[in-house]
Amino acid sequence: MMFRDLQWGLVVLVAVLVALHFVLRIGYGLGELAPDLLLLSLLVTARFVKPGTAAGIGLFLGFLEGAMLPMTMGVSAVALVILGYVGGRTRKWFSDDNVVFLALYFFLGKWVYDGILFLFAGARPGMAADLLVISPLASIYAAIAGLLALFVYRKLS
Amino acid sequence: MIFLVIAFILVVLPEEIGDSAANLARETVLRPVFAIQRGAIEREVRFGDAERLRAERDSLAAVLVGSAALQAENRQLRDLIGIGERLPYQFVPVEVLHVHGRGFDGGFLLTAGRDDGVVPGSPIVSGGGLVGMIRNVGARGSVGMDWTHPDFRASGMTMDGDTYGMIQPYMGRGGERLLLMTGTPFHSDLSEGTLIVTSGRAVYPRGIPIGRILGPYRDEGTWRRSYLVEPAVTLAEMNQVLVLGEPSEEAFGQDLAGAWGVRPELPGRPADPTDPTRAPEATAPGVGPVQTDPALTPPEPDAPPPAAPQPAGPRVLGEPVQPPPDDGGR
Repeated sequence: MMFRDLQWGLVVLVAVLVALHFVLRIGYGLGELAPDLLLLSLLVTARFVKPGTAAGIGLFLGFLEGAMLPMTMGVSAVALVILGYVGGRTRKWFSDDNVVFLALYFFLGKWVYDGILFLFAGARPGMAADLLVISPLASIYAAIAGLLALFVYRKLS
Repeated sequence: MIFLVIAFILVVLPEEIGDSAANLARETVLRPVFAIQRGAIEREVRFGDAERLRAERDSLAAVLVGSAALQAENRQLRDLIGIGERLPYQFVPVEVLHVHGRGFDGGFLLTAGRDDGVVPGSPIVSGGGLVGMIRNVGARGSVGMDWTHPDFRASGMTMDGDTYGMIQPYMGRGGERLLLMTGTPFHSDLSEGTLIVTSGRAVYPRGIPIGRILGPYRDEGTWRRSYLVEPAVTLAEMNQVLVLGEPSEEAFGQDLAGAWGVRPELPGRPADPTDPTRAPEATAPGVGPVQTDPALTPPEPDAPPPAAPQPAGPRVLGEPVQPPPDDGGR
């Protein structure tokens, strides 16, 4: 596809998503009202680069996320490394043109990400509700935002 | 694989090293984000609630007019007996930057750091009472831990000092955030609404309100009891806080309850509910309006000071900490 050659376009897209993630969620204090653009930037990137590269990007993004969340250094990094690598592998499984699969990809990516974070956080009351109710909603939100980001990227490229 | 190993190393790194790395990122790459957040908070504080600010200003004016004579008299008496300010601790007023992470609660960032005089382990308080403590300090920011963090512990006691216990976070079945006072003697019988303050036996100075007893939790056997405690400071109230510094020399170990308008009760001297000088427990911090307390020190057992009732008004919590001299020793 044409946009596969436009790596700089991808870099710009990822940079914009990452900046927006921090500005919206932390700078303006929107928290989870803003979609998880950091994860989306990784999932989008993973569709265009090798799995190892995606894992490396995941490590960097996870480090940044860990720096923003006090006393959680490394947890996001582990989750994003795993998701980056697995996301890179999914290129073999389905095409970028399949909107349904892409939506499912973003949805599952977000849900698994939350699941890994909960795994590290340990059991606590209300965790099941968070994982089974809040997380799926956040995942749907992320999937919509991810599709929108890809749509914009393709239009611009 | 190597990236996964590095990520796991980040997880198991000692907290000091991990936070040093995080501080580095916060003060470089992520600095603009914090600048935006500080700007947003300042705008919110400045313009967000003009009506509330106006009401506070009017109340303040009324209090100032009404208590001018009392304050002058009080100042003279303090000068005479050599008592300092209400809160004998230096403090740094700080804004809290909340960053929510899935499954991780109780940590927050603060807008003041080493350069402002904040040191690790400092207690964090607000107008309601105890918020938590400083965990790690960077040059311009720091990481705090509030009472919802799983590692939070505080030694608490009743105001009369009869019952002690360990305070820890507790999450109810509905996800409500409460505190649990454990390890109290089995013979203790704390009624609902009893104020719990820090005992001064561990990290926190004595007398900072922690919360109020909601009721017994469940017996932990035959020799001790636990109680659910409603925190004095709710999560929504943790926006502007004070980080306590070092106590003044003469104030070391002093009870701080007076700074929150709560007067310590001496053991064996039950409070008289009709006593007009009685500490306003019913309107204690975090629950209702806090009253100014004329007495800085606990009343003497042999000669309780017949202090006159004071009007409700703003608290004066001491002098802001002075920035250290710029001698390059920071």
